[in-house]
Amino acid sequence: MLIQLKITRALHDTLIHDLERPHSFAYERVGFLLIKKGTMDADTLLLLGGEYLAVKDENYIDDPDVGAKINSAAIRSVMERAMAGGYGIIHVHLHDKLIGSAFSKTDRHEFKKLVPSFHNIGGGAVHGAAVFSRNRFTAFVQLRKDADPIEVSRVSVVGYPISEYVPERSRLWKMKDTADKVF
Amino acid sequence: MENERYSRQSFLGPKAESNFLGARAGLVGLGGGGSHIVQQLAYAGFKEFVLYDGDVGKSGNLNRTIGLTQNDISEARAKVDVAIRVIRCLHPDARIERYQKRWQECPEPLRSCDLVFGCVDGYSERRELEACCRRYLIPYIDIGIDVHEVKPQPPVMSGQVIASIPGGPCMFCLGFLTEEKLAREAAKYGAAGINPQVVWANGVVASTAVGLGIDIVTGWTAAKKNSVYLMYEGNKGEMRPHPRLRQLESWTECSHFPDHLVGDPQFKKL
Repeated sequence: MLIQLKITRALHDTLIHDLERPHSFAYERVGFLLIKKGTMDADTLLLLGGEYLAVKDENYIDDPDVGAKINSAAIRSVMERAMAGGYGIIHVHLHDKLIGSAFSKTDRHEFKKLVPSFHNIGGGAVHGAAVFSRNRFTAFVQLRKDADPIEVSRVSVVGYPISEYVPERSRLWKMKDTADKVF
Repeated sequence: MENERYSRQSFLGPKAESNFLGARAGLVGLGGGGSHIVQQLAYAGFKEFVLYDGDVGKSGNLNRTIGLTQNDISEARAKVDVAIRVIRCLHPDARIERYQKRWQECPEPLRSCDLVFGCVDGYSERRELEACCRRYLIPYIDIGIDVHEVKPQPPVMSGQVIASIPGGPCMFCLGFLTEEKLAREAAKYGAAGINPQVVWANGVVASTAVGLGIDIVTGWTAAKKNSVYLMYEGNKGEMRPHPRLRQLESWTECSHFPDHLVGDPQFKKL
């Protein structure tokens, strides 16, 4: 299945501006892009950005072992908003150009737990995560709680002009893998 | 041969050709305006099209529909097939989805487009098209020509080219669509009427629309805009920004198509 994510230029710029802001102790910021599905055909899923939810400064946890760690209040907040608005949730953050946009080991470890939990809000929404680095991206979605992640193949920023992020391949995981593998 | 073919438009940037190849253009209406647009997009290098028009060519279309021939009239050829012929003469391998029907009868393919050109009659048709494009985050480019007769003065020819960009002002924000206009049209049972149409005026607005579309896809002018509203004064032969744009200086967001109203419509339990 081909999965395309589209967001308006205005929403994209809001997201990037928020994620680029420094935090007093977290190395990086995270946020949530709230999305809705668009029906095209059986082979393609269109995901459309509707809102961006920033994580408040006070909802970060000081953990020097990871780039960013957020508390349950932040998770609860986005899940409530997603449920109220009928949205899916895409966890987003930035990598700097040296790392590139591929998922880190920590990203994969955390997403494997976090993204399935978003499905607890019900409603049949699609959830996932994305990393952006300059003009490159890596993103995946899960269609159901127990489904394997599927790569997002295209991310378009819709405006005048349209711009496209370049996909970066990243290893994903199988939900049935019980061993905590090092990728 | 491909390099030579597009060598004269290399100023559009090194990625222009691949941008065109990857871009899917939707056209709703393949009459006087849409036929120009199809031809020009094909010449520029677009190879993916989603085409909607339910009509067949008639003799009254022969003064302006690009590609339509006397033979097509005799054979009652569909306008969508005339457009396909124009495209295939330039790109035998073009990927074309053909819908000889109203787009509302089969809207899903339109949602897959990167750009949609609306060459339709009537305000309500435009409203519906724009609404669909806003929901699925597709830049929508609208064109139209009108001729008013206010005797004893000469007829007044005017037109518009509007680029409605998701996230930017819509056609309601721009003042082109109003509830009053829609109500007046509805009072005539939705009949937009038979408007005077001529090939050269259609060509001007269509070419301008194609230029906007190419800029949206390639970014060659490096312009960043949240909308375009150009008015065509046919009597003077002028195309210029519409004066209503001055009223948008304080515009901050579109209240007609809020950001959260994207994707498939959802039913909410009351």
